[in-house]
Amino acid sequence: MDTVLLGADVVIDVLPTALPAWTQLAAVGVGAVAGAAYAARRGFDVVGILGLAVAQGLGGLLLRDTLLQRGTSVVLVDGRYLLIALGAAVIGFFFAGLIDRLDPVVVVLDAAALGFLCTVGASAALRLQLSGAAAVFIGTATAAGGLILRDLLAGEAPRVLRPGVITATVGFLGALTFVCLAQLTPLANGQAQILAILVVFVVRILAVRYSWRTSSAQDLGERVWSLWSRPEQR
Amino acid sequence: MNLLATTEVVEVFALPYWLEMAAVTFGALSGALHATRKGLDLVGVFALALMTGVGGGMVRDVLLQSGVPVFLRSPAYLGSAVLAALVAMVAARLVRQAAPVLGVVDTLLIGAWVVLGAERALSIDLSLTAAALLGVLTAVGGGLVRDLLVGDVPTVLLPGEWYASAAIGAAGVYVLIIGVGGSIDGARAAAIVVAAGLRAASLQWQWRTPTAYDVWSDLEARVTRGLAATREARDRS
Repeated sequence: MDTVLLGADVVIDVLPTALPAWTQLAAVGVGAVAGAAYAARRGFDVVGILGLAVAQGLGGLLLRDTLLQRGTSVVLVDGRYLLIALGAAVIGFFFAGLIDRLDPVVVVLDAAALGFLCTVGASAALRLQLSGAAAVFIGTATAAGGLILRDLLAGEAPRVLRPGVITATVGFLGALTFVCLAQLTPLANGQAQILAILVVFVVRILAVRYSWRTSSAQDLGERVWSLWSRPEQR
Repeated sequence: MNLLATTEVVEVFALPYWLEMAAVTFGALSGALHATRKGLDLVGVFALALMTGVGGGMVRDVLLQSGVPVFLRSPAYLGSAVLAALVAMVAARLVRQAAPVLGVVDTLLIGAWVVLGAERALSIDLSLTAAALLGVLTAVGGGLVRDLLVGDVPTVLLPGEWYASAAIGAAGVYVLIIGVGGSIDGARAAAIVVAAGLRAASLQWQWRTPTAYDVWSDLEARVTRGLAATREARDRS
């Protein structure tokens, strides 16, 4: 497992998991291709396609590493991440139409990447001896960060914050599952991660298939009040 | 963080101080001008001037996480940005009339921004790819933050004049020269000339940045057309 010196004297694993190193690169690649295709569809130029590929692909890990403050982010130190984003931009520039056709494949890969990112984020936070709550937050932020950064750059309110098919919620669920398994059960981090990834994968696929959607905020107080006042009306 | 250690390393890769100041000042001036055009208030003018001037470097330094962002280490950065905002407000008409001159200076400074960002990355031993990305980010970051603050889709991401593309070209040339072991001064000069040249050429011949070319749909349309033509030919015979 490759390690890197982060910050002054703290050495943490680049990939604190039992999964092979290419999985993290693949997760970044899936996000980057999605970002590039999105930019191409929206009529952005070549710079916009490259920019949104970098934003969605690397945004989550950049956000995680910026919040954790342990030196320059992995995605900048390891040149392969940027090359992957560059490759994704080229694919998005020429094959946005084909990517739209392959929507089911994109959904499956995206679900896998989502589970991967939320566990990698949470795992890095746990390694730095942060609390479980902080690890769940970092995990969710790593999973949703790319999407949020992409939407902000494209000049939109982040889609994950608006009603729609559950995405950030699944990331949160995955991070929570991972942290609970890693902290409360004797499972090793690697095993906990694989289980959490499976949970995220299944939930996300089901959510897309049966369109489980988040609803917008409702005033529960109003409803409680109406229950209270109903007998008086009769 | 080991601030001193970082500044020592930076000595190897350091552009003249005045060039960096000039870049910040002119960035701030264009930001303030943009704010008056957008009808922002006093706070808006100052905020946009500051962020356009130092925003690119700020984003870069936050990402690099090797010490306090450069623009906070010396009061000169913020001072010159505030001065530029004041000038833009007091002499708004004069500045607006000087807009063509500002455009020329801005064109000349793209390459300087790229070099500043790339050298900062190289000074902490990042790869050439990362250096190129951070160079481009430093060049376009100010405008990017400016557009996000006023709620526009960042201009650098949309089709139009060459700006980021010129920066990408400059970053590529700079990294290439450093990569093959050329002189640092040569690489700097080449980056500034390439960025200015690309932007000037794009304005002269009205090049627009290319948008996505959808190979798949194009191929599909051609095949459909071809099939229809053969069927027609068969029906006729």
